[in-house]
Amino acid sequence: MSQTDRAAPPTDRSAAIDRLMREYGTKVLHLAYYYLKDRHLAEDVAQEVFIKAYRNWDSFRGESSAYTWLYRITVNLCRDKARSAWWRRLLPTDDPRSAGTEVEPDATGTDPEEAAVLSDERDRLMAHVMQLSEPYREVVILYYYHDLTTVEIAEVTGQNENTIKTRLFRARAMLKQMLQKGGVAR
Amino acid sequence: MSDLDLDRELRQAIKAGVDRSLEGWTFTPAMRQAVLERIEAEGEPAATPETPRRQSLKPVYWVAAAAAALILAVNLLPERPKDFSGGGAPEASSMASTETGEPSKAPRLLAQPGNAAPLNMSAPEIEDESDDPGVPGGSDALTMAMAPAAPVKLTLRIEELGGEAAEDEVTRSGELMLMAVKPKMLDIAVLPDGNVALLSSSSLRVVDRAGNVVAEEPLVQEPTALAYGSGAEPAVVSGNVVERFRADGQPAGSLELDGTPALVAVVADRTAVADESGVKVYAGEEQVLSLDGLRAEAIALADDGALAVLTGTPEPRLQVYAATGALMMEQAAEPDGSALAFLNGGTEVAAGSEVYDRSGILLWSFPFVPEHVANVGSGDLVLAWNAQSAALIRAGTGEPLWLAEAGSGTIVRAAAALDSDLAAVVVADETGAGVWVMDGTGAWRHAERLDEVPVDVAVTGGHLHILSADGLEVRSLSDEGAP
Repeated sequence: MSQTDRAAPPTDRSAAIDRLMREYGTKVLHLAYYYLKDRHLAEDVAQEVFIKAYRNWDSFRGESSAYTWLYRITVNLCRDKARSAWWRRLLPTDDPRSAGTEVEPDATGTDPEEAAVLSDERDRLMAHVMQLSEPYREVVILYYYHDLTTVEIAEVTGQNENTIKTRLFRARAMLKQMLQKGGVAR
Repeated sequence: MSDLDLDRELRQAIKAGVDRSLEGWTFTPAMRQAVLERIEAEGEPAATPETPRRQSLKPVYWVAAAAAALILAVNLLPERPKDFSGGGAPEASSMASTETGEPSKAPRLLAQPGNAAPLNMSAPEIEDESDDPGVPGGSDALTMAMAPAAPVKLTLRIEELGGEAAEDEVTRSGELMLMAVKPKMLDIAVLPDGNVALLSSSSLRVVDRAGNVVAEEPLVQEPTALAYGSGAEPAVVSGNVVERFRADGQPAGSLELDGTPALVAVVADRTAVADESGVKVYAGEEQVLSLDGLRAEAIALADDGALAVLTGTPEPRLQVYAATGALMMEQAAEPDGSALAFLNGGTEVAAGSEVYDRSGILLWSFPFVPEHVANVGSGDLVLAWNAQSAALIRAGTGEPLWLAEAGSGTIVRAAAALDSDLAAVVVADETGAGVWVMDGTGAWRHAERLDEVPVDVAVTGGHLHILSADGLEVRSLSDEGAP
């Protein structure tokens, strides 16, 4: 995360929002996706996040980092979106590769065959993550992908930190159990 | 592998997995430009702006909007016909006038809250089948209902609710894919604070009156049994674990067993479970009673920790054990159903169609053989029902306050409120379903036709909650609009 996060927000709101969009737009987009499991909805929400941030700029006083503030808005908007028809929360997962991205060997593997195997295993891991129920998926994505601490996750989600720790512990155990059947965590 | 190693592995794998799966999908300059254009169009916001909501109307708002539209439409009618059988919902007739005959000034969708005045029982929506002159009918309905020498008799007919069943879900394109992945809705129960607990195959959720999820706890396995404590504290059997929850939906510990129990009952810190091997009672995690080999058809716990066990046919027996484990009562029970519950603060035990005191003296009998028995309100009333009949009965005396029969179809669900004398009854047939909410006098507070048979219903003094496979709908039972 940027070290400028905790700096006082710029007075020019539009410029500040533009900077936040450039810096965190994709992160916000991906976070929304892992709540909504729908790319179009996630794109709507991501834009709405920054519009809401603009409207509520006065409420951001730099006391928390910009990204936790944005993530909190994202989480709340996603929850609102989901609540508007909450039974749709478990929509079929978009195929992560539905956009046509080619499956390519992981760059860390020197052997293309080994890299391909590793990629498959990571696909399976992501499938497992997406299968987790929302409270677990939320904490996994925020912790492992967005690198938030449990304190920050508690702030973003409005949950008690102990609850977050418990969920992280359980999610880790569930993923470990899943992975022992499929690989990756060797 | 240590937790640190696992963490490192997971972090690396998830980052790579996310990056790969969402590769090339970014917050594009076009999106950024769209945001900036909207910002520019809005101009500088006020210091503490009101945040407009977009596309996130809660279901209850739609209910409120629909109610408002209906109220408007009804009020635009020059004169409301008394007979709504041509399509109007039965509850509509309750707003035609107050009990004094004065037209209501405020438009109402439903009967006044707290107003015990029943609908005119001679209205075509309710068929008074009693020949007893004491049974309410016509203009004497109010008086008779308030002093029920005989129970108010109601016939619940779906076809009289009007409306058409919605088209088959299968024909709705775009929703079919949802069916395979939605969590299966299993149960709904009202909690003491007015929130409701929603049990699905994957989680226990607590939803507030506006439909917001205020707590959610995932379940590792699909539940196989469910019980509620006297304060509506849920207990869910998931595999060989009984997960206990507080009345606000927060976890309250779990009890790991050797096997998967078929029956569960809970009260305070006590958990009773039964399977083919017998019945066991735990206080917290400590086993305090084991009845090995006892094949229970039903079990129940009283607030003081007493345990009731109804054994099966061919010679059903009712046993009651004190919290200490001492056998207080054992006797033959009538082989007529497996409903079992402590009533009237635990002083009475309903087993099948009979109700006993704790010494085994027969106190009173139900007017039919109930399949389900539930305490209503503060516990002095009892809701009993089976496929054909439902009744609200005064515990202690067995006096029926109202008795409803399914005029067509069968009764598939009934639920009682914790905070009032309201009860909801769902009747279903091949064309759909209908739900009725009655108060202690037998007066209807709400009735409507449903497109599909609900998974469950729950009722409070102010709201009716209808759980379907598609989600939760909330109806206000007051005239104050949406919850």
